[in-house]
Amino acid sequence: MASIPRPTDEPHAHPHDHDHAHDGPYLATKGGIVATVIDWATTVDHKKIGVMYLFAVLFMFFLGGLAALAVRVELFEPTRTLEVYNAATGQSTTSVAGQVFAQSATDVAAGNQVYNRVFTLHGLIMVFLVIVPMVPASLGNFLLPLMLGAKDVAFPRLNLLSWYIYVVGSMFALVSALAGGVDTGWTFYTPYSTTTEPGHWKVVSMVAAAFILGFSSILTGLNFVVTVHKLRAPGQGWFDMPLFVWGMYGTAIIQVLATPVIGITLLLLILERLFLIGIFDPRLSGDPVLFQHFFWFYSHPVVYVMILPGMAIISEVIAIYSRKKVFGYRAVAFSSLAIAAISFIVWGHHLFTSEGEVAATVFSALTFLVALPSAVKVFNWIGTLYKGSIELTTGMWYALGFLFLFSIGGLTGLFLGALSVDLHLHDTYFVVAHFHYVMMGGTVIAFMAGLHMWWPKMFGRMYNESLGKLGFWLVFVGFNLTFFPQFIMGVQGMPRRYASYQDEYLIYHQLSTVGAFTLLAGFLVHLVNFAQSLLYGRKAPPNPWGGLTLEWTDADSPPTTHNFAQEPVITHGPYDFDDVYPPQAKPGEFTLPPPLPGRRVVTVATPHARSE
Amino acid sequence: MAHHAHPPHGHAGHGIESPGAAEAHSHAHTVVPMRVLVLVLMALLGFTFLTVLAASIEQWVSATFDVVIPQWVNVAVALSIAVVKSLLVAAFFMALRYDNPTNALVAFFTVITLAFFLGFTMIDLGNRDAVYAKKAQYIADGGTGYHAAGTTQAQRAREIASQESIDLIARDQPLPKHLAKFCVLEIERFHAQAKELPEYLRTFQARREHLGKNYHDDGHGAHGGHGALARPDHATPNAAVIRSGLTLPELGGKGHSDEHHAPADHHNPADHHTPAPGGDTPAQPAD
Amino acid sequence: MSTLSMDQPGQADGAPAPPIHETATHAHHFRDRDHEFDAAKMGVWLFLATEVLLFSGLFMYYAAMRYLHPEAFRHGSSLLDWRWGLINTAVLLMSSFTAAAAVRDAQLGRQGWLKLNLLLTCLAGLAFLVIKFVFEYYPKWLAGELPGKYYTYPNWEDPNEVHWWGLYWAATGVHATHVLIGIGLYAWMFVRAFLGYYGPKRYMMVEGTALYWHIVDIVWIFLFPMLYLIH
Ligand code: HEM
Ligand SMILES: [Cu+2]
Repeated sequence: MASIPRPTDEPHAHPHDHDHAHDGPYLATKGGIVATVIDWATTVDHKKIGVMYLFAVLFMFFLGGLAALAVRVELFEPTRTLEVYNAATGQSTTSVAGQVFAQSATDVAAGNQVYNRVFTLHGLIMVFLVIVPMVPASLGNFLLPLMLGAKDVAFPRLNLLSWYIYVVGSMFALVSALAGGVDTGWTFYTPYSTTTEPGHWKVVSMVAAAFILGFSSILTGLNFVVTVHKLRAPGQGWFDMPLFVWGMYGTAIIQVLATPVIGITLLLLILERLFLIGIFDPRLSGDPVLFQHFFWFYSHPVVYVMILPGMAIISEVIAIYSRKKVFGYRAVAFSSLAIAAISFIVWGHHLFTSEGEVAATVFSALTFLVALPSAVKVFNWIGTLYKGSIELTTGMWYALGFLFLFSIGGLTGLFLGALSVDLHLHDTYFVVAHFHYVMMGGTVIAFMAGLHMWWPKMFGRMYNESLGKLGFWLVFVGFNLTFFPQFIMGVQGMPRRYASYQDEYLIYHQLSTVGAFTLLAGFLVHLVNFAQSLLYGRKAPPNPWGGLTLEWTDADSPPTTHNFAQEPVITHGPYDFDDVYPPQAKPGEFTLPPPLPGRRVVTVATPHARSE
Repeated sequence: MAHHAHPPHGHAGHGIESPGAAEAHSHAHTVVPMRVLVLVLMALLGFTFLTVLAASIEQWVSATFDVVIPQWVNVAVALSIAVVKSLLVAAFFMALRYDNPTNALVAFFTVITLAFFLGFTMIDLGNRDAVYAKKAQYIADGGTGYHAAGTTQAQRAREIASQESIDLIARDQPLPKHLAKFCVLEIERFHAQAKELPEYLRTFQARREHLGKNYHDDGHGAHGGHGALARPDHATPNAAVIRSGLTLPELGGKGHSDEHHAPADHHNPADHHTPAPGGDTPAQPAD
Repeated sequence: MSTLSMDQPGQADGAPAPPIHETATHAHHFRDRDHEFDAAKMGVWLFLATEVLLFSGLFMYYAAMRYLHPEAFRHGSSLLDWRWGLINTAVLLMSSFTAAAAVRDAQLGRQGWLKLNLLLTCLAGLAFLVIKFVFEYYPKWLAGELPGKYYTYPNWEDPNEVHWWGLYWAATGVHATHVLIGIGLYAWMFVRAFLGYYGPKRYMMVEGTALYWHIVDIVWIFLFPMLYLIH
């Protein structure tokens, strides 16, 4: 067997009876460019699929971000129809001002149509192509088997299929966008989606894209549930699993149970559009609110598909960078399941203004339940931080940022969940700010935390910490600058999805636009940082942060094709920092304790001296 | 799932044949006896006839004795039998009865999820009456605020196609007295407070009032006091009114025109029959 | 489906000596075939969960439209002939039986019976579709009892009757598509059974497909009374 290069003297890095033909780093190229491309395109390795997803999602994030910037630029100034009086001729002419999407000098409506399309495109890309697969399909795919000590996910080929379905779905979306885009809003509400541009295939194509992407999501979820159930390492009980895995498990359950409903919803929507079967169309005595029930039965649970992985990442990041046992492990683990369960019975809070009063009241009451498990998590993270030996890496900064931003997002969610308050706030910028605080401030920020923490593991290279922190601060400040003003103008009544506004809102919109460009700057800094890490980064040790989960203790950086030299055996909990590290040890300054009698040696590579 | 700690013939008690020796220890490899399969098939066919029979008997009874059997009886009988049948299929044909309990758990949660979906949505549909009572026709027409007068869907579809005449429905009713009085008091209280506003807010207030005078919406905000026709928009499902694009001629130059701001495809009778809301009356917020 | 991962293709096509099912191996990330089988089966069950929830949308469609337009549904349902529904139910139930029996045959290694039961299941599925198309879809097509804008049936009794046909075609159409896929899978397995693919050590595909087939059956068990019997 080709022995695996392991940098430290680990007891079990010796050749053993397993024979893996080519067990080098998974990133190693196989021959020439063509061979490498084919290798990646046909790979069933969860790590490669995770990396492909990672780059696809980042690319889509970039596209969606462009659309967002376009929206913000349009909103920098309100759209106005100017009437210019020409003293010489005594005539006045009208023209449009403040509209970047202007189609002609006089037609406000046409420009506004474009605006509608752009924000719809932004929402569709960000929800279906970015946030839903962002963590599970990229980091999740990469890490889940590693954390479970498995060689792969349960159904590797299904995993590859999921990736290709994602690609096909994106194609449908992009083709529709290139053909001019749709103006239905990301929610595809009827009657917008059934009646705009009758007969045109664009809307069908976009709906089909969301339909197809659903299958990709289902396959990922299905794979993860089975992987967690069946592929845990010997000795790894349910409560020995890292919390990341618990979060992924909750996510996967929602993906499996909720996504089929959006499938049939969109199918019915397509039938409605093509054949006018009448289910959602009020003109044909159908019920448009029924569509909202259908849609949100999927889409509320799916907001937890977005946030649970974020929470999962934060649990890991905070534990590792606090070097402390997670406070209330079981509470955090079970709260993931509780969130998954509750998420199925609160969808009606998106329909407060459209459904009947009885249902609205019931849903309002149920909505408050979600706050409990969410708060349990937040408090437990804070409990973990308390008296931990905190190390402020970029990942940790992002985790702290998450705590702050998610709390704001969650609390404003409670405002919105209160029926009477929501009647005022519904469809205002308050809602926009709320969901950006949870989706961007929650999921994306958590993703950035995780990406930084696991970057060395994924690519075997360290990144530049100073650049990372610079990027964090730009993103953090930019984010708040963008979205906090939106709370204020929302409360004051600025409705969402309008291309123009009254002058009272000018200052908030302008702050928001400035913030958006600050965000852009932040992400560009990260882009540079990651690129330079890939090209010139210092080689990463197997365990740069001193983590105790299997991907740190038992796998190389980057991991080998088969992940582990031999099947790992669990000998300690994922957060037993106190058992493994001597108290008060400074990373890099201690040697590992001798193996405890009766226990296998825990292989923690000496944490790298990060000061160098 | 690391250990299948079950004795090889743990299921012998259920009368299960012993499967191949190599796989004897797994839940998943139970061989369901032929006898069970045949019995289940018989039961399923029996229940099928039963459900048809029940439906026919109900019809016959109500026709012959001229009694009205409430529909829920019909539904309950038919669906209960269907539930029993599907339980049989799941338990024996799909071998859930003998299988790894995890799979039964999956099935269980699936059914729960389905029940949530149907249950809560029907709670809404079934209780909209509370709203209907107040908003009657407006909601019955699907909340779009106009009727398509045709009786059949085909007629309506045709009518929709020629979206010319739109019949707006009055939905504003005068407030009950006590409520009206309450509102007036509240508004007065608000104005009283406004006088004590700090300086920066007062300028804000003044600015808002100033704008209120000159702003007039682009046709889809309500013009104060247009009563029945003050509807948030006049979009027809086929021709959506552009919902954005405020126009503010005053800021752009001189003159004040009422015409140019209206998108071509919208016809708001109110626009043409009422003076522009300049002058003394500040535009009131919509609804 | 995931069940395919049980079967490593590319083995000798012709003379199965030893039969393919004897030489079965397991994917490298599982401990043994049993482990793999367990995982695959759970995967199938999760897939079935998604199927049920997919159909839940159609049940919701039925419940909502029936609630909103009870009269239309009453008339619409009376236009279906329950006898065809009954026959089709019986056909599908019996095919479920043969599907279950096929699993049993594979487990016990009874190759002849296995082939027979696979074939019978496939044929029963076909029979279901033939009955559906010849005696239901086609006459309704001719009569103009079609969904939405294609609805031209002149003798309607309730102005909203078209909703019934929208539901009818959507629900039975999605179901028939599933039957079609099942037929394809059974035909495929029938062929592979001749190549000696299935036996006591290797029958995940037989069992997985049977599970799928049973779910399609269960959906029909509900659709039958909902469409034909509830007045
Ligand atoms: C404490 C937990 C939360 C509560 C109580 C809550 C409550 C609500 C309510 C009541 C609304 C409807 C507002 C309206 O349209 O009038 C809403 C909208 C929304 N929420 Fe949350 N939310 C919570 C967490 C989250 C999370 C974690 C996410 C996503 C990661 C999220 C994403 C969204 C989105 C996307 C919308 C608006 C969708 C749209 O209309 O386009 N929420 N939330
Ligand atoms: Cu929600």
